[in-house]
Amino acid sequence: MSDTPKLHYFNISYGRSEAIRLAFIYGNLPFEYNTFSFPEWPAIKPTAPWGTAPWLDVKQGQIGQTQAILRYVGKQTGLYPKDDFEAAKVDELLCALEDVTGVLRPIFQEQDPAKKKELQEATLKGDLKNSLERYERNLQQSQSNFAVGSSPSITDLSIFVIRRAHMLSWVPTSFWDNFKRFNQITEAVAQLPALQAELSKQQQQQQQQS
Amino acid sequence: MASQLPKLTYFDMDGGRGEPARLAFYYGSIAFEDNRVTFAKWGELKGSTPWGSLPTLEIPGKGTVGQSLAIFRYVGRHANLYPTDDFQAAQVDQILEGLEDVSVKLGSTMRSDEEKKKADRQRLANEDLPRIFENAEKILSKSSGKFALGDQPTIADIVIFVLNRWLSSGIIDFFPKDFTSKYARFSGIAQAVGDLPKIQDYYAGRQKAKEAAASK
Repeated sequence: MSDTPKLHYFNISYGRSEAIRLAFIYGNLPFEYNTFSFPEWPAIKPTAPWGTAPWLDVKQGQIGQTQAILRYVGKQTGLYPKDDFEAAKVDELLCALEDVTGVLRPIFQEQDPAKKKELQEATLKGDLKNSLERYERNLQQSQSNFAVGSSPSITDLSIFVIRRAHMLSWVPTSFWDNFKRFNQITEAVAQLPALQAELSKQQQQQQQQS
Repeated sequence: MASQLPKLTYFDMDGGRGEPARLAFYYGSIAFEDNRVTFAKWGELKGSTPWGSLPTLEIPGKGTVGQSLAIFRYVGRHANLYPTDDFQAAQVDQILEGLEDVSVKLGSTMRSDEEKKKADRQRLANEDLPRIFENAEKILSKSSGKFALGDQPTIADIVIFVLNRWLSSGIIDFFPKDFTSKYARFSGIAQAVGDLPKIQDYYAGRQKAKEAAASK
């Protein structure tokens, strides 16, 4: 297998691969990025370690499961704490993010536009508000702009990706104003020098498409 | 005086999402406070937990950690149950995370009414869970040895053991208790963990504790 890690994912933007991509870029670690479309997926699925995407090919073998990949890349790029307790807090906040995005799943799955809008409004007032309020409470402990300790981690990248995800563009900015730490962390990631080139490029690509 | 021991809080049951942490502490011969909560007491406790869930781990001088996998990794590192090599650690992580779905899917059927519970659990047994287990089996089969990564146990094996115990116990209504027997690597690893002297010691101790409590 090639020495350059190869990340595989769907050709969608700001999904489960983005935090991993940003981690590679932050650490200036070369990687290949292979994407495929949803129609192509059934043929590719048997080659994916868990029958799911993303997955990562490295010299030693394959790694499936988003968080496993993210932690692996984070360790190579200074985005995962060496201190045991801090590492546990990064892990805890990363796990708990799944509960936040989990409440959004029924909305993605709803195809009918009217029902979708209804679901969005209900989720905004209910599950999303509740899960973010709880998440925000757990973000109070840190002394820096980042989630844990004083340097960025894979958790900060993941928060950034959720906050900036185009799939969440239906959420009004005023809603996010209630979640100061979530916003603060997003801004702190957006300002990271190591990500400026990539984020500028993404912004240009978005402008070209609109 | 505040306890100087790490304090693990979980339900008073010999299984569930907190059990792997108890086993990891015991396997690593690490003293800890095993704070076992009755379901009756859970109501008053819930609001004070970081995520409204258990297990939680309080580490003296540091703070509290919630989320079972975060706790498993922390205890695992201290108990020599988590690899220091990044790729090996990722292999453990992907097993923990891949199997997490099993607990989540089955857990979501707990409070349904009987009709829905039966339908959901039969669907899980016939469709959803076999997919996960087949993938797990493929990955587990890439290595040989008694345990998931070889001949040294890791926290992934402990989780496999606890999950297997639960799925095979017969206490899950409408779920076949021979479900995991189809998966040779999974079952074999569960057996190997059960055979570890430390694990056998642990449950012997639990048996004694339950007998002592019953005779009071």
